[in-house]
Amino acid sequence: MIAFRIDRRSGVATYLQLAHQVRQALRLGVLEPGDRLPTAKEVVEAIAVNPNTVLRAYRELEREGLVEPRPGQGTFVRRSLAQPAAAADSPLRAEAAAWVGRARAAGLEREDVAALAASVLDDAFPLPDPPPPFIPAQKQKPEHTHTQEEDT
Amino acid sequence: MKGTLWLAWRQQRALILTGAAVLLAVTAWVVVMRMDMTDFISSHHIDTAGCKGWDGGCESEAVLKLLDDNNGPLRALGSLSTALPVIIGIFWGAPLLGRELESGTWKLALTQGVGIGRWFTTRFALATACTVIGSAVLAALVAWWWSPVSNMLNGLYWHDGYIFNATGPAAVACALFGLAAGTAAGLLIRRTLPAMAAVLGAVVAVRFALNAFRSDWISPQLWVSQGDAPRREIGSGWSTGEFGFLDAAGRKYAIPDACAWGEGLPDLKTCMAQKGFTGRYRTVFPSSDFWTFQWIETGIFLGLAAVLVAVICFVLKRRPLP
Amino acid sequence: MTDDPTTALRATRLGRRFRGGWALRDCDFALPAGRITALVGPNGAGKSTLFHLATGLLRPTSGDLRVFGAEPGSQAARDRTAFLAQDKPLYPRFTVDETLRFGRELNGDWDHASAERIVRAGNIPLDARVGALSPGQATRVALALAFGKRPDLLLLDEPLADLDPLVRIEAMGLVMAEVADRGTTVVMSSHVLSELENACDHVLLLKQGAVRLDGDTQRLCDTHVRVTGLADPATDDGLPPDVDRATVVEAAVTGRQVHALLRHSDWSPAEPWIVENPSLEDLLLAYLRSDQPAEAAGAAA
Repeated sequence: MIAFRIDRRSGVATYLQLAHQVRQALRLGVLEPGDRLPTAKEVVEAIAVNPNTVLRAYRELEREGLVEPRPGQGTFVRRSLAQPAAAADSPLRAEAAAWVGRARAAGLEREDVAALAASVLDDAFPLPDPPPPFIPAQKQKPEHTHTQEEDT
Repeated sequence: MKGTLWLAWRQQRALILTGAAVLLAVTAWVVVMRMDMTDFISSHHIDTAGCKGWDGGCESEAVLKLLDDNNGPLRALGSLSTALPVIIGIFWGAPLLGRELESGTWKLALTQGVGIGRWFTTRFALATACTVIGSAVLAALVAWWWSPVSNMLNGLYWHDGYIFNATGPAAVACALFGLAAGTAAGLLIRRTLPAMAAVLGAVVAVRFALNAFRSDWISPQLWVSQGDAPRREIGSGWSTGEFGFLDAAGRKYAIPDACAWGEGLPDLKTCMAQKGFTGRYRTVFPSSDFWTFQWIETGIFLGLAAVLVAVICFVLKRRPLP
Repeated sequence: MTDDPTTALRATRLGRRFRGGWALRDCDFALPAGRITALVGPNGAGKSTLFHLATGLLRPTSGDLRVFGAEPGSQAARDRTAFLAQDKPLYPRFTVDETLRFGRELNGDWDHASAERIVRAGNIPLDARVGALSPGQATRVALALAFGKRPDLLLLDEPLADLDPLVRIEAMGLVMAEVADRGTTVVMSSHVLSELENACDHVLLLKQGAVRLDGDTQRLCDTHVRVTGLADPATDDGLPPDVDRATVVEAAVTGRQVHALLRHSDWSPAEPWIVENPSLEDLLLAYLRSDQPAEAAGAAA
């Protein structure tokens, strides 16, 4: 089982936070294939968010193929994200630790090291096109939204 | 118990149980007191039936002691029964709706499955039943204890407040009026304490008014004695305090001291002849008028209670409640 | 009017006048069923009045309000509605057990097991006097009483006021669990906008007795933009002249900077402007602050 928590100040949409926490649990091996995710009722009772938010997060994970709903039983983990190579005692981690040690010895601050690592990561794992700063809203009337002003 | 009746019972049970305990204690006390009284009557061979009225002609140490011993406790019981409508109005009527409105719990009660009609009817019916039973028992106790020593010498008479207001159907009707007045006050004022004060004022005012105007409801009897014959004794009757002389034409002169007597004054016969009086009169309500007065006041109290209940129902149908 | 099953609460030219004036006037809205609506507005905006109208504790002065097509206060409406008033009234001398029995005795359809479960989950002894409970425990009992009724519409007037932060989450969690379980429609008012953000998916904003905003929260956030940039000294509000003024919810100039919220704007600013979608809290605050929509006031009149 997994306990969710919400950072209300992060600015990240709540359903993304939930999906992220499931992925992290899969990476850390906290959740394994066959495990049942908590029901929407269990989640919302604990963290007081709209049930649709939880369902949306689960749909997102389902779209990624990480979980699957079984009618009448709940939502279950399909596959793990745990990478043996990322484990605490893996050689990769030892190499990274040695690199960070060298960077520190070279006089870099924590933030310099993080920025350096981030730029290398960006080169190695390019992100999809960044969203444009602003997409003008459609002028058409949305289905469910109407403001008082529109009534005139 | 089910539904709204359970709720009414749950909310009124403290009052019902307290009231029942007090009533039981009073009943036990009255039974003991009355047994002592009847023992005294039989052991002293007092003929109470033949001893009615101011002039019962049965004055004896035993009779005076009988009355002395019982007048005080009877007055206490009569006072309790007389005060009952006020007590019921204050402690039962005023909080019946007033407390719900004051604490906001009416919002809880009126948003459940049952409607306001059933909610109010049940709680008011339970309060009404308890009021009728309580006041009827007290009224009966007063009548039961008082009847052997009723209308005797310096004892308690049917027209005394301690008796008239404390017994008979009017006492029960007045208790219902007190309940209705308290309930209406709680509803209209929305707060228990001011509603209690209002019902106290209202019931006491109506009682005072009725006591003041009682003798105006019906005409008293005219008791005439011809010539200088002694006036007929009042007996168990209730004198209006009006008496005087009659002339040959039957005109009344309400001047009791028109023919005073004393040193150097003409005797009564001479005086009456000089002034043209042919007889004397007084006006009296005989003791049989007790029931006439009782039914009149019963009607008044029930009428007032009915008006108040109609007002309550009208206000409860409106939204918001006042 | 159609009794649309997807509408839980529908107001048509709804108005309510008190001695002091109109508490609500000419309100039109349709709150969707199965959703959690935040009722937002400053004190005196008419929120409590609306709850009282929806429960039949008040009658409208003008217009009409329907609960699933039924008149508020009617048997049909009462059976489907549960209301938690602002002061959370309960009978202080009742025990918790008696309070739940009150619900059972006064409601035809009553789920005693789930009401009791909610109380037990809060570690509240059934024989405790309600008057001796903490505010959090009393809220839990009041919610148990509301949920035991199996309502289709749950009206909560400031349910979280006077509660400590832990209990607020607990109480809100209870409400959300009930929604997850039964698909209950919820309308709740609160002054704590951040608390509504994660819970509500619809918003109705009242101000001075009129509806100022009504819609799906996500769509409202998507259709508004928060813009920040260099103030244009030539205009009163600091925004460039090509911004359609009808779309400005609020605009504030601080020094050289202008900060504004626009709705449905197709204004495409030149580079130096920061443009982002507002959070719900940000959006609601802007509407609460804004006195600008003379247009909106005109629309409501």
